[in-house]
Amino acid sequence: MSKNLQVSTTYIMTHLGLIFFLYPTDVIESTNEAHWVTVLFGFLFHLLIIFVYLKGLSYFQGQNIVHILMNKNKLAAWVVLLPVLLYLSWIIVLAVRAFAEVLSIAFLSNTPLWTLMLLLLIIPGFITFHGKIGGLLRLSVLFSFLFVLPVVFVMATSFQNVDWHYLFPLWTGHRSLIFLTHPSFYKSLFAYAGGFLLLGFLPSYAKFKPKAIYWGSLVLLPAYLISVYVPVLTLGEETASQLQFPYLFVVDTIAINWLMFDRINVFLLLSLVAFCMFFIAVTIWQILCIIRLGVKDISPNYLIPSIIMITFIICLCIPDWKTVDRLFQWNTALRIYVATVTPISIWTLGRLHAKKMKNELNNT
Amino acid sequence: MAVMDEVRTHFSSHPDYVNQQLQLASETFTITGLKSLINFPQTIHMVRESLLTASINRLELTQVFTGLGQTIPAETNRLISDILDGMLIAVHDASGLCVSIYPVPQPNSRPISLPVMENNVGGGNSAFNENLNSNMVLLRSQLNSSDLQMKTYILGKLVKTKVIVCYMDSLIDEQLLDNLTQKLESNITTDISNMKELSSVLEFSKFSLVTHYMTYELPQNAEKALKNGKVILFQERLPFAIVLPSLISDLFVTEDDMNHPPVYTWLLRCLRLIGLLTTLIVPGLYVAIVSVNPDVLRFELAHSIARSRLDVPYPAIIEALLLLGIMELIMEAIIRLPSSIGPTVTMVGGIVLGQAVVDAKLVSNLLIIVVAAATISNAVVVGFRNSYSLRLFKYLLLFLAALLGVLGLLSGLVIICAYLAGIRTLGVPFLQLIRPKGE
Repeated sequence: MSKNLQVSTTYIMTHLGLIFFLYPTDVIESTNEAHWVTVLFGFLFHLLIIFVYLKGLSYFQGQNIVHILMNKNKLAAWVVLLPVLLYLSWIIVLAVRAFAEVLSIAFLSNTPLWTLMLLLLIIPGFITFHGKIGGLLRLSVLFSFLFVLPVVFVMATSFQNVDWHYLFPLWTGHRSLIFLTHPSFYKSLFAYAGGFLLLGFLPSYAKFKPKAIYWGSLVLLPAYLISVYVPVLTLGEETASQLQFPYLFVVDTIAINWLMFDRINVFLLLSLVAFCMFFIAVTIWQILCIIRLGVKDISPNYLIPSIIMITFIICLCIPDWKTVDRLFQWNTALRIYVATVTPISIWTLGRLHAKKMKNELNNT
Repeated sequence: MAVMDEVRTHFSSHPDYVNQQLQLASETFTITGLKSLINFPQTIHMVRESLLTASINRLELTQVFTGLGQTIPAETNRLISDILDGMLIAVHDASGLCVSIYPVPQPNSRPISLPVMENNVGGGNSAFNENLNSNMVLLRSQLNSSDLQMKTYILGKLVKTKVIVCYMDSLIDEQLLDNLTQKLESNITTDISNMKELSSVLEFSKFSLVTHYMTYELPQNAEKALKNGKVILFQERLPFAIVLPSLISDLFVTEDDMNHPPVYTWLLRCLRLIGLLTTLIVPGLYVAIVSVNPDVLRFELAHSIARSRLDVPYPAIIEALLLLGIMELIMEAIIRLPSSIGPTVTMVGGIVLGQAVVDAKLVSNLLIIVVAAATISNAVVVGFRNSYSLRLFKYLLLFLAALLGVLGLLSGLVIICAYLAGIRTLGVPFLQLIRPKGE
């Protein structure tokens, strides 16, 4: 049974949770004008790796990447899988730590940070443990039903104070491409590379058409653009670049007369927390997959609590926001390695596999 | 006859056991059965009439006699079980031939009547009752189709209970049917007399917080379920159809909606969804906003809420628990009370207690509104089994909200959603809309 809707909502949910926090900061930092070029470049990079990845996967019917890699050379498999595993663990730590910080700033300044981090780990742990992958996929549909409406509402109202003059200049010649030299641009790829690996783990559990993913990514494009352009259009580039979370700041300034709530970023933040919990759950599941299929088939009853415990301890060791930011920066190299090597190696293996099958077919 | 003597000894202490001789021309017949299950005067009349006609017309009496029912072997156990099933056993003394005859039964159930737990506005009103046969009649007349399959299982070791499984052959999900049949067959010796025991036969988790089945009293709901590819179980002496599996849409959708114009159908469903979210969120939201995150509200509103709670001496969570507890007590009491006293309790609970609690400064005015909204919207959801789950989930959100404010509220919602997403009934996920499909 094909699960196009479930897979594409899962794909959208995992990305939406990452867009609105650090992404605008990094993009605004990486260039002074014509931000759309930066966004589009990142987006095209994203489409490219997804295309290569899906193409590679399509050569192997119903196999996930751990199966594919393990069937070939074990050593070569770990050259690809180990960075993936490391990267996934790294982004769980970063996501939990960063989100706990955001939540603490936004709602619960008196609550100790460790409670928030524990909450952000235990709930995703429960989601993965109780639902397994089928549950995760179904949950994404329920989430999109419940939480996308508030996000769209906030996105629509966030245009309240924009000044469209800030949109210009749209193109500044070769200066528009200056962001390629700035490290922040590569940091901003986090929002694109966070969730795409999931697609490689799904084939053995759910059938889906690549078209569903491309449609899903089209839904994401406006979100990427809005998250960058709303702060720039409202505050101007100079001011926006001074802020830690520019989009959240702009949403906080919106006033709606008829609403009983004073701060509408509550809706946005809460929905994003839900998406982020979902993202963490999905990532835990991917780690689970790699360990169970690649190393040893340990029961999730032990594996999930230990993943949670280890992540929690690492999170506790990160003292402040500066360290989080530095970890993000350090993560860049690994991220680019994972985002390029994994799809390409799957694609190469796929080509070889297809050729071999063809030869075998001709011989018989 | 030795076998008949044994049967007679077995039933010797039963006051409702009847053993009677029937003389026709030169032949003697023994008729036996339980008068609590059989209407004897009418049944004897029926048997005698046909034998009498036969002897007047000079037909072969034994042939007519065997034609009255089903010839069964003269074994003590078989005879006893047939008698307990409410059959009339007739024995031809000369040849020892035993015939089990469908008698005129004693009425053992109320007539087909109005539903008790389900109300509907636009559709038919005959409801299933405790009698398996009249339930079959209702279902067959509602769904006249050759596709409808019915299988009978007799479960239990000490007490035999008949369970009838109905489904549409061309629409049913194979995996669902296989799972169900396998579970029923492997637990065929379990005694079942209530829903809990049936659930244990079907191996549902004991700690499940969401119902795995829906129960419908109205045949049109059962019909709709069958047409959507679900399975219906009828258990003897239970006055409803048990529909497997339950899906999330069962919270919002009833067949009765279909008797309204489509616009109203969808509006009604949206209303139920709003009701569901209200009953879950509102008490938690009150606690979150009052005790943890007053800053999310507009200043004027936050101020007026704070003023109304000025004299309340304890935290919002205790206040809410107090009033919700009383509300739960009232809801439970109304089920137990005779209908003549019920309205009194409603009045005492609703008006007297509500006003007095506010006057005594035990809770704030706003909380009364919150609790009323939560209770009313709890009843909007279709099926009382579903409303039980919501009544419980509300407390999860309440406690989390008291700890973490609006974030706790959201965490609670996420936990509930994740819980629902993980539930499976007989291999079919709960989170589906209309047609149950296996994973």
